[in-house]
Amino acid sequence: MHKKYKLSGNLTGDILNPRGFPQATLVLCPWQKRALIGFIVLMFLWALCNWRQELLVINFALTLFYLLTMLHRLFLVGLALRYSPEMKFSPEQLSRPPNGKEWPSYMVILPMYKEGEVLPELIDSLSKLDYPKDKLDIRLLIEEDDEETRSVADSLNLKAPFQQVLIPKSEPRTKPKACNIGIEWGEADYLVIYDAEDKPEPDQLKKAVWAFAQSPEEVACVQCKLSYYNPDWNFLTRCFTAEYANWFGLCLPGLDLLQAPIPLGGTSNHFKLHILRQVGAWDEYNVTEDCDLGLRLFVAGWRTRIVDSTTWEQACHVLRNWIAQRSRWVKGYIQTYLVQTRDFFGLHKKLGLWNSVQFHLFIGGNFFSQLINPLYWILTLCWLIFKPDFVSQFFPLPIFIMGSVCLFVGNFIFAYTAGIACMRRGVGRLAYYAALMPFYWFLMSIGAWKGFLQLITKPHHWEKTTHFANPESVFEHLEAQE
Amino acid sequence: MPAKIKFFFSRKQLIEVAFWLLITLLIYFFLLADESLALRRHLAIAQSILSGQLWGRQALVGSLEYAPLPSLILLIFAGPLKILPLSGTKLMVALAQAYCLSRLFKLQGLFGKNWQLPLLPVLLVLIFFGWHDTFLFAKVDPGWITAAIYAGFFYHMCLWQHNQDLRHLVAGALFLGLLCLCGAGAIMIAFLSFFIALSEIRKKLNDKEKFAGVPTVLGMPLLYCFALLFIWNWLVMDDVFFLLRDFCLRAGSMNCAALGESTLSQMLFFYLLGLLLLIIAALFSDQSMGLRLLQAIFLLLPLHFLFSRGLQVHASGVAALSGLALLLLFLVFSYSNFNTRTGENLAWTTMLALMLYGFCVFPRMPAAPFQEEEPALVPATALCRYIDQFWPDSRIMLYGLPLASAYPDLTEQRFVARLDFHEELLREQAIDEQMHLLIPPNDGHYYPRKHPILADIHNRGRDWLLLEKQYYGGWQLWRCVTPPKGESKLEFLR
Repeated sequence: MHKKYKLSGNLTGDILNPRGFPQATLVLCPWQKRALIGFIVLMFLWALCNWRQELLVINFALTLFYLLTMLHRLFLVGLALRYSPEMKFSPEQLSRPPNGKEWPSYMVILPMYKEGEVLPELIDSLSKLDYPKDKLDIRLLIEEDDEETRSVADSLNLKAPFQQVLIPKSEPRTKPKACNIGIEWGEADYLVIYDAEDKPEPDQLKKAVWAFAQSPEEVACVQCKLSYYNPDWNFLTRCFTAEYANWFGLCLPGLDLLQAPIPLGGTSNHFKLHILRQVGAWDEYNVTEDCDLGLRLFVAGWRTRIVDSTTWEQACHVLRNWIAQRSRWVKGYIQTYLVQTRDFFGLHKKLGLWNSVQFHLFIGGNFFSQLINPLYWILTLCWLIFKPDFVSQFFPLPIFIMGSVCLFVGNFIFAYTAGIACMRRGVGRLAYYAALMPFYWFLMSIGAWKGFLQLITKPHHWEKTTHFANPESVFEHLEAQE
Repeated sequence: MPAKIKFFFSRKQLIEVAFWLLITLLIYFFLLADESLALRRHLAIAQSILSGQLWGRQALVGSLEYAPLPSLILLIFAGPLKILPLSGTKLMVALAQAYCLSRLFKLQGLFGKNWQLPLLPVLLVLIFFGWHDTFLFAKVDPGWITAAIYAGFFYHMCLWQHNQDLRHLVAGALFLGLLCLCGAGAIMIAFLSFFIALSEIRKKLNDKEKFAGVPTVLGMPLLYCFALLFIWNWLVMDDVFFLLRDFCLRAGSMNCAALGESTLSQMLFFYLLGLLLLIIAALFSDQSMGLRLLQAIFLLLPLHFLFSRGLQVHASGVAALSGLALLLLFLVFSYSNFNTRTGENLAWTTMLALMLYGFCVFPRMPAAPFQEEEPALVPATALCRYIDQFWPDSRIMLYGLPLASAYPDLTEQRFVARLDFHEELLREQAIDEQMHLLIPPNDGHYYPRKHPILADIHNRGRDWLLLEKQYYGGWQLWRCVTPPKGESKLEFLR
């Protein structure tokens, strides 16, 4: 029997586990704080004794980390290209429910805050969902004080299956808190979460139902692919699309094949509702609650699958907004990593050796590499321009070889896979942007550092991504797609 | 759930791996013990890098003749894999040949579904025993690395034509990129193959939307590896175009007399016949991707070979690549379905002519056309013995890759090698220590006939160099006469 957690409020009194499982209420737990201080003191003392040796060892460790991350990514991409693991369904299959009787009931939740502008588009695209309306329960989760969205929702005169759910004003003011409140009551077999600007493919719910039906019992979640309907707006949206294509088209399917923990994407996650409630749903203190939930499901023994259905989102095309969004993601990934490793030995025992390695390389490596990349870029630039002698003393032959492989092979692989992913996702026209990915990585690192610093100053601050309504371009694009 | 990936081989895969390991071992023992000149030079580069010498790093990137990839692979075989009780160089070539062979058999499996005759083994036996001398099948030659990479590229492109799977395009593209690191001929072949493959893919897909992205995916590794050659030259040689300089200097003094050799014209005719066969077959058969890709080889290899002879440089990978291309030609041709009777008859007639010509001409050739020999050298012991009489602490400076690899000295106690000649640097070094300079004959083998410094020194010397000894064939040993600091007895007079 699985323990059942409450979805909101009712604190246990334990600040680290307010609802009975580890949550991101605090950035570091006591032992992590002690370990961090100990590490800093150790580094300081070591530097006093022999700073050259210390730098050499740090350089070795970081280069080895880069090398392993690169090999892991290469391995995932290779697997995804070779085996194509996404679940696919024919139109004929989707014309009838998998059990042959009736389609199961579905709850659709739509957390939104100040999204009045895009709400009509959202309602329109959800109305197009190819699913029996009497089996649907679509909940617009609107903050109590969000007059703007409420007034637009009221003016739309929504009828069943749509309903408004008001989220009372309380801390923390995050999306996962709204989601948890939104699913506290009511029954359904499955649940899916969409963002306000999402345009899921009409048959997505049916595909998810089929995916659950064809998967073993332990599959509790189905992740659909995300892509952007506005890739051609500017450089940022093009690179963002390439990055998403890589993530959802190659990396996650690779993890799926390895049956490794999958960090969920923010939307289009389909769950078995009772299991979602059982594991406590989303961590309202975590700013990438999706990634955290994916891991928590895995640790609890549940599995996630990837389905070949796409939800079209709007890519951030304004640099300031994009950096804000990226900073939230990185902050959330660090939060998740720290929360999950609180029970350090327990986690690794549950994950096993291979999945632990993947957890550190994929979740830890993801944010860590974005943070240390600038350091190595500066070092490389220094080496190229000034050719100082002191750099070479930190790169003895083994480190030099590993570093060269990372520099000349690793960087190319990361960029090239973006091009491959674009082709695989049907946006081959953007493939040549793979060659410009290094500039995009630079922006990613800016976002990462912002997120890292914010983790110290404002750990629970939710950097809201602003979406823009642009019906003309959206519909033109969708028509062209059809 | 998707079946979890098994990291262990299935029984069938195990048998397959064991089979190819056995073949590798057979090839290993079949290979002759002697290494080609090119391999000896690549090995010298690898060993020099492992010893931490500068010239090794320079030679790795600074030469188009002796391309980086074979040296890089040799680094593994001469380095970590030295623990194996086998010859690293032979093992490397055996693995490359076994890989080529495995691609041929896989291709036969791909093409030959409706063909009952086991044609490939017959062809292999015929060509192997008939022409093994010509194409250095039994020689330990680094060209087999190039051949193996081309085999990989060819195999994946044929597979792509068969099932349009993206991963084959990616694999083909990566092999194409690696070809760029295999020398001048391979670079030309890679670029022409890229355009041919692109046109074939466009024809096959026949959809602008689907084709979008193909040029990037196929071309990105190629351009990247090509750019790497120049980046490495910038980093190591401080000159982006260093690897081209030797070729440019040699172009001004091309040895046109060498092009008139009968062996060369016989080889050229053979290639042209092969090209004609490929053109005819591509026009009338269904294997257009394979046949058109091979056209690039049959067009460019003889040109590369011809110009290399004229420029007196090593034609990297020509022998092995020619051998492989022939096997591929026969294989693809044998499994082509012709759409007209006339076309088929024409193609088969040309094929017969090609085979007859090959079997008549190759065994009678006075010397294997692709075989290279090291010209007569002054023995290192003779040089050292002479110097030791008067200057026991002096070291001999060597310039250029062939010369450096001819006098390997992993400790740099007697010989110091460089790829780039900077007169000022040598003079500065000669102030700190006694130096000698070995200048080979100006016959175009060790340096371009019109090399602005080496050829000039050979002809006219320098005021800071003293010709100490001239050996047979025009070898010169010069002594730097710039006196070490504070040791000149004439210092006070200045």
